[in-house]
Amino acid sequence: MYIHKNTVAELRKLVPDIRIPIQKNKRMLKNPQGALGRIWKISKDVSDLFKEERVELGKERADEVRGYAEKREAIKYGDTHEPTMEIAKFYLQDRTLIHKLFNVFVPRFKDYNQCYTNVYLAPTLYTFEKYPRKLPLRAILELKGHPFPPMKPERIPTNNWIHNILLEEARREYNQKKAAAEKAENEEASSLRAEDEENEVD
Amino acid sequence: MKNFIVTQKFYTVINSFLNAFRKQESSFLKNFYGLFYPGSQLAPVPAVTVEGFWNEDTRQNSELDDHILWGVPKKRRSVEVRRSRRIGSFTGFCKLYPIKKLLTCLVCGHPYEVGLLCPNCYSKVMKVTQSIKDAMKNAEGRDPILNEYEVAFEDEKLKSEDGFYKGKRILEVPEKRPSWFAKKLTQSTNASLSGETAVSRPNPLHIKK
Repeated sequence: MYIHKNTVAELRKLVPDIRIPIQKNKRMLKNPQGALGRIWKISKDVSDLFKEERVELGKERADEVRGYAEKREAIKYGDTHEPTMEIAKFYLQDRTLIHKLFNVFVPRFKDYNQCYTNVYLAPTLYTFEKYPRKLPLRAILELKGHPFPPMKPERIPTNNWIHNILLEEARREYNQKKAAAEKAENEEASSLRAEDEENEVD
Repeated sequence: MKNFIVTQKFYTVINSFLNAFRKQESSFLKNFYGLFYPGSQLAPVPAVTVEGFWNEDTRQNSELDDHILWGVPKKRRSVEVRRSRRIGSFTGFCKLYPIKKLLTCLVCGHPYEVGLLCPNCYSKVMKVTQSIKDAMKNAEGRDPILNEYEVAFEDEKLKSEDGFYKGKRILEVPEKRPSWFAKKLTQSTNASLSGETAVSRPNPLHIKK
């Protein structure tokens, strides 16, 4: 059966891309203004993230901001859609960032099948004010495709990688064959020598 | 036994409360009502003047009687006790405990906690990111950004007339490129794009020797 391309919705538009557990209840991000102040706080962080592409935040706040940074309306509808422009104006407080969104980030993330952000946990900090104690964890939020050096190193090679296993097996086979061939040559030579000795005796 | 203690406590509370009324010279009521006594500063202006139990004759004219006295420490707390209250003790409640889940970083060899970044690598990376961010800030100004960035360190030379390289805007960073931040992922060493210096052969399969 032939199905036209336009009739079937793309899977990546239906299935959520972020492969991380999301909290059922949203965090209110303690502030006196309530739910409105929460979004205002998030909009600050989102605009910082889009400006600098790598931001350090509190762990829980970074997790909360991440969902808002991954909004896909700009890619879906473009810059001629009015509701998307309203959202962009609200979450990006600096007006120049709206140009950056449609000129830089939309072409960058157009063909992504993964999520657009990464989160790493920073190492712990200790203070000795008042009394020695451990400070709450901080996280590093970043957009993918940034110009900075990578936060984590590349995968470090081990012997368990498939091509390393195969190469090792191949090397072993080669050595075994080589040893067998040498052994055979030696045997032949020894047998010939023995025959020669017998002939001499006769 | 339990009931006995409760009743005893109950009686002591009631007795202490009643004694305040029984003795006219008790400090409790005097101190408490001293604030609102009709001669003090905080006294409300009553519609009806009080006459009878609380007259000026009953009130003493000392300074202490006009204020509430809260509880204060009676004895000095020793150094050992003070420190154990702040930090805790290994025998009792331990506020600071040693970290046991540690691993060694395979890149630099420093210890790091499980699930977190290595502190040595983290500090190295963040130093470079900060320098790139500063270069960004100087380059941008107030104009909107319409192109992606191509980072060019001090020892690199990118040939361009408009300040663009393959459709990317060149960011000049006044630093040398660190050896661990290679240009391409397959290249194991630092190499400039000008082609003047020799390029080492990449090791794409990461084969262990």
